[in-house]
Amino acid sequence: MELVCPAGTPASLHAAVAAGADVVYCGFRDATNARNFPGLNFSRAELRDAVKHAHKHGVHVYLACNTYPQAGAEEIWHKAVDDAVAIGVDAIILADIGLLRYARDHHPDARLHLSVQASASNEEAIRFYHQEFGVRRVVLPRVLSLDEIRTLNQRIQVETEVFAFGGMCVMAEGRCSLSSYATGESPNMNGVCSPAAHVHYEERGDTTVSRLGNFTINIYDSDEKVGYPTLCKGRFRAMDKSGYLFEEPTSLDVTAMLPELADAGVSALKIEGRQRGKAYIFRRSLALFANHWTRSPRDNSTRDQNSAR
Amino acid sequence: MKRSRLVMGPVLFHWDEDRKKDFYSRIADETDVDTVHVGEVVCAKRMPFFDKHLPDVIERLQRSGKEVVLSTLALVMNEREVNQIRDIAQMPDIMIEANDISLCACSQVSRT
Repeated sequence: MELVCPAGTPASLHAAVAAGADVVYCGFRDATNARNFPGLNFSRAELRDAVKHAHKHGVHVYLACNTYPQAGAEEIWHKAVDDAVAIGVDAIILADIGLLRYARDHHPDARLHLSVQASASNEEAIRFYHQEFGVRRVVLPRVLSLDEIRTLNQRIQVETEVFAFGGMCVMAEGRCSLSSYATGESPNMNGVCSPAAHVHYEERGDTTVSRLGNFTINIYDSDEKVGYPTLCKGRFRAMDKSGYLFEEPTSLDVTAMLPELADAGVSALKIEGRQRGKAYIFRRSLALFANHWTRSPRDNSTRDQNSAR
Repeated sequence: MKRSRLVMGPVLFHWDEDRKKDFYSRIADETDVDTVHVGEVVCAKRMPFFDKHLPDVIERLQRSGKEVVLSTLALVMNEREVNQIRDIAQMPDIMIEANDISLCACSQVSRT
């Protein structure tokens, strides 16, 4: 299985390459990717340098272009796809059907991957994207069970990539409206979930209140660690119940099931977190390798075989 | 000037069978809605409870002059749900609303 690491910045990319990633994925510094946070992502020149550096070390680079183009501004997304191909990334990760069509029509030789944002959660959907657009790999929604993943791999023609570590999104990815409900901005259209510009923290007596827009997301007692008010990970009151009504603020960690994932036919493990620091990337990659996973030495000939294009 | 059509979307709430049946009866008898969407969009587990009433509901709505569209699951995950939408894709003589790309995929196959 390939290890696919996030790179929010050129420094993170270098860290990921040094840590032994097979692939790094990143985005341009605009709304074309779903981690459009300030201070993050790559300019065209930075991506060019990054691809040169990664390829020198036998590492592939994928460009995430996985948000939904805004009507009237499609050319921004088209340009992102065109530039990614010109720069020579190894695959482009897309979610929008129109953008997949554009990429297929204008760059028939480009390797296209289907983003988790497409929420392709069953064999019919995956087959559709494969037949219509020639996608070679699908990033699976994080809510599928191991059995469902195994069954899918037996029935589909494309490779699968599974999130192995990081944030756990239990929503229908690419379709969640919670963030736009609260702030007018969403990961799907703007590349941000629960954007920082709408976050406030407030001391109220002995408690700290975290807010997103006009909504209270959480109230922390003095002995609790204050977290970022990601909308679906807050505590709410409904009828007589209060607590984590959408989901617990837990994260994903599949390190205990790596052999099962390999048996289930998964081609690649993806670490979530382009918004996290380079120390996180380095530590997580090493943890996966050191504790649970033996890999054969990396060399270019092996890589070309594994990523048969 | 052409009059705008009024379309009523599918019921997204977890109503019991009787409430839904009564609701659609009233829509059929008392409203000027042109098109009515029926069917389960949110949760496949609700389908066994209401599916058996759908043929009657559809007929009732059509008899009062309404166009009926069958809405489908917004997220199709397991084998049972995939089979459900495969069956729906085969249904003749009714407009189907696809809320997941898999239904489009199944419809393509059934037309060739």
